[in-house]
Amino acid sequence: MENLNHLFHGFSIAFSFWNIVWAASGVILGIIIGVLPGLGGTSGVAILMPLTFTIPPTSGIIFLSSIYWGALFGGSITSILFNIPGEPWSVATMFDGHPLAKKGKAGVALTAAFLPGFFASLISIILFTFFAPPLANVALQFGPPENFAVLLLAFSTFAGLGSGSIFKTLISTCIGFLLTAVGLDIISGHPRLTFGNIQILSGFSFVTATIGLYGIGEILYAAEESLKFEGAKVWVKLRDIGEVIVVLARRAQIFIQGTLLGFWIGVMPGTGATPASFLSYGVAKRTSKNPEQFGTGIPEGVMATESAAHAAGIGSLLPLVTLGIPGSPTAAVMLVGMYIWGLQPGPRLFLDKPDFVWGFIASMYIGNIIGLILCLSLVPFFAAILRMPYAILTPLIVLLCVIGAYTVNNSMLDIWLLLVFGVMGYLFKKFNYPIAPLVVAMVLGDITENALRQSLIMSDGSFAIFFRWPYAAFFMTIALTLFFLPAILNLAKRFRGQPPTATAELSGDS
Amino acid sequence: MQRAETIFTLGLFAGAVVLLINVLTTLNIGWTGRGPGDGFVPFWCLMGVLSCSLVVVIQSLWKEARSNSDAKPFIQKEGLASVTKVFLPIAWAFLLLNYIGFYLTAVVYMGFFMRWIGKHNWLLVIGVSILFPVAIYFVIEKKFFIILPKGYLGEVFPFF
Repeated sequence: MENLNHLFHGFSIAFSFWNIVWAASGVILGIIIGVLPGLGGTSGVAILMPLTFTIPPTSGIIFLSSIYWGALFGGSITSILFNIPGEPWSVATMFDGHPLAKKGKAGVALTAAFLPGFFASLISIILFTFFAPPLANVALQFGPPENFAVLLLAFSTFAGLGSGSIFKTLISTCIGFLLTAVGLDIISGHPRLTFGNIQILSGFSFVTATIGLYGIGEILYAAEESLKFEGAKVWVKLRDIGEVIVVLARRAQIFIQGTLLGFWIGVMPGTGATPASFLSYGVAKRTSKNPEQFGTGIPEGVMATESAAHAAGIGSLLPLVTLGIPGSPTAAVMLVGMYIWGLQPGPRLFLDKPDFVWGFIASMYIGNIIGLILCLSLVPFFAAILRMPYAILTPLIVLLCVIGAYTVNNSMLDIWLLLVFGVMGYLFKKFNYPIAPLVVAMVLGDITENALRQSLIMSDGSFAIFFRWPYAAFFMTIALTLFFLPAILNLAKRFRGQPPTATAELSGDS
Repeated sequence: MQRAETIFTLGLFAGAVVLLINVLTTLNIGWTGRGPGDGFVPFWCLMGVLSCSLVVVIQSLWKEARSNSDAKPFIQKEGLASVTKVFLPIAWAFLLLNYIGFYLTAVVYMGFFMRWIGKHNWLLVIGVSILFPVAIYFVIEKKFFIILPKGYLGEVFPFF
């Protein structure tokens, strides 16, 4: 009941004129970012983040999260109409969405993405509303060892559930830690890894790194494959909506399963919408009575992926608000924003900044309603965005990145770092090194290191403190299990005489 | 592709060696009176980079030896050309930023890119490359009070 009171208070904040404006503009920008194949939602949030530096934090988080909701909706438009993923999480939407569109049922395919996506968001936000406060209450009892265990969990999910090479994930994480180590050490007061350079004594800004790695990196990566699109004229008709509602009612199981699975994967730190969408599609196919129909263009396939992707998107913000660790790469960028606004993400937010937390939670309902209405009514306009010439879009994004990087410290050094990080982001993408662990390590590196060092001071050097009962032991066990999961699975396969395979290409920008 | 990846990973390895020397000579990687020293975390992270990059190098050498030919090049020729075409203007623009400030750079960079890469007609090029910086000025500088780099020109002409 108390939560409901808080939520109503949150609505009174989220319904203020300017917050609605921020939510609506975030959703619109998000849909545009989602539709454009060269630009991911994570990059979009990173590039536009600097706009929020001078507005109130509540409006800031509403704006950034609304971009995320918009991108979740927008990605499916490109996948369905053009068979090119607008976002990594809408790759699985192509499997059935595009064949369905080719059968002349583009309207049904789009509605099968939007409507279940919206309902999945709604259910997830309700789960969020009631799960977040108790989780934050538990987290309030955490000391340094518990915090370290939770942070380790965030890093190990990248390694355990991430794509391809676990070693590349580890390298990426370690580089992130090393980058945060640069500058003055908080505990000893010594400069670290500065090579006598005074300019980097204050350390590298993770905002510059995020914008460079995602923004400039993606621009360079997208340059290799020049894509050209024709606009498409599709309207969603009322009949399409009716048809999808019938499917939704008849195959409610696929939808519910996708939503719950997506939410759970989203809450797990480090993963997010992309693995959720693949997993849900696979599960829906396996549990279906006629799995052979999947991939031929049935609304159920689109429903399964989109409900999971949207649910994961919402779920990934739950650990962000309650524990201060991001549930997805996009959430990691929002974490960057929260530090910039002077907030300490984590359980104390519920006590110290209730307006922020509940305004944000309430805005999720509003943002997703705006997203659904805009998508259903304006599909042709958003599809037309694909005709935006590449030669205009590229310099536009680069200039936005420059503004973002410069705004952090008003220093030209950040502009050059932007270029360095951009090249690094390009090479990482090129050689299949994951970027998200690096960014997360850069943002969380300091607090992880402090938690580690404080715990070891508490225990006088004994690592046993990280298995302190009950929470530290609990999180530590999950973290270690997840970390070694791929190795265990491969070993098990080897014993059964099957060749070991790498974990499927699941993660990515989500 | 495989070879380029090996070289990149070896580059990471080499970088880690340089940092390791720095850490070992300037920081305390062991136990101090107040917990682990300031070099503790960097040292173990460098160990992580060194050992993991060795594994990655060995893995990709192994893959290369087994496939016996480096069939897929790191990057197609046209791909390289278009990445360079995007990268060089960015680098030049960043350099220019130091001298003529954000707004003039934006006009020059956008105009150049649209004309050279996009082959758009002059009217559109001039229109967009002037309108966008003007819009940025009103949104960023007037609405959000963020001052963008002015360069040396800004010192002479205050309106830049």
